[in-house]
Amino acid sequence: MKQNWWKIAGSLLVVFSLIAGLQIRVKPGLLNTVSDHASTSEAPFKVSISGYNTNFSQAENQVWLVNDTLRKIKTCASKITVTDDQHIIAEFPPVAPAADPVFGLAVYNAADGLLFKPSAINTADTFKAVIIQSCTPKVDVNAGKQFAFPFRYVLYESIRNLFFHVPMWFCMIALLTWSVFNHIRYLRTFNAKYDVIADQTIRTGILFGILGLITGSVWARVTWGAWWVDDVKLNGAAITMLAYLAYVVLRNSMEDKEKRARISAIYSIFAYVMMIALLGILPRLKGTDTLHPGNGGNPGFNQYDLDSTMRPVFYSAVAGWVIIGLWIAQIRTRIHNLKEASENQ
Amino acid sequence: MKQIALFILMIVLASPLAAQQSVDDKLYESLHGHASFHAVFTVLFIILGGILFYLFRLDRKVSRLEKDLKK
Repeated sequence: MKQNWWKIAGSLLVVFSLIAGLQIRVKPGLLNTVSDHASTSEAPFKVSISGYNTNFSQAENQVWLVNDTLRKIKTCASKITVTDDQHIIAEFPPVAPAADPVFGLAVYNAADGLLFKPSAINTADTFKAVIIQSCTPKVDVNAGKQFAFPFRYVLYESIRNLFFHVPMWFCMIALLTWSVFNHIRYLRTFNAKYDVIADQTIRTGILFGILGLITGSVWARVTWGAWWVDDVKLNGAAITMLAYLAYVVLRNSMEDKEKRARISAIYSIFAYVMMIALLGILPRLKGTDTLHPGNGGNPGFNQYDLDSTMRPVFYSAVAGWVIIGLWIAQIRTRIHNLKEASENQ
Repeated sequence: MKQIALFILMIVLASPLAAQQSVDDKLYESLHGHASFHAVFTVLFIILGGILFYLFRLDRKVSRLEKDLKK
């Protein structure tokens, strides 16, 4: 039991990330905003708003339109009808757009805090040189703070996949790093033990790479609209997987044990360097076209996305899966050693 | 070969879950409110299914080894 504490720790971390990743709610946000008039400046118009995880009926609501990109000119609703927790109908006085024919829409109440949807309402009107009334809603910045995952357009609930899809890649990279370390150890000592560890670890790494590819494809279908998009990181990941599958084929094709170990060690070092270049460096270069966060000038899962609610869940998922990966690799190594021993008898 | 076929079958079985994004809004409403939750569901299904499948293969390897050792 004493040697097995890390396996228990890894399992507990994964279980924690599963439970927390599925149970914690997503913060409230505004899903749909539909106006009953194409024009906003001719007559008063009604906007039906549907919220997500909102509590409209629990506190007094304020609704206003934001007329410009600087969010300074505001038009408050003249009448607000709350249907239920998720639905509100707001009536606005006629208003002309400030510059672009788009309005942002904000809803504030003490339970949910400030909810904002950029470019919520399009108008058929163009800018008219009329005075635009501006109101000043009273907003408490600290209202609606709760322990929940951030609400993000496009992602919505699938933001939870950060705890399941991304750790697959972290686990694969950790396993391949461990195997390249053992391959280097083999080349320094020519002890067959290290060769076996490295080989079995690579084979486990491929499992996690394949899982990462498939799960990424499912996530891409929902958020980017296609199973596979032309993206540097996706193609890099696919090439990495092919390179490591080629490693398996190459290794299996050789009979002589020493020659096999030496050639696979050298191949593995090159494949590892290529993986780092394809997954870690190329997508981060300026001007690369990629949809992945944190690459090619895109904002990463930084202070906005990977907020204090997601961080503990994400890090425990990564640590847990890395440990599980090492565990599987260790079992594979032990099976292999037993097999060798039985063959030598 | 059989195993690979099974693996592919699993993926094919999982894909309609992702394709029904807009149609099955109602189905997922009870779970976590938004249809995009099914992506999380499918991803979890693939990961757990994949790992379990891999463990079964390992198990088979061990069984074969045990048989060889008995001889």
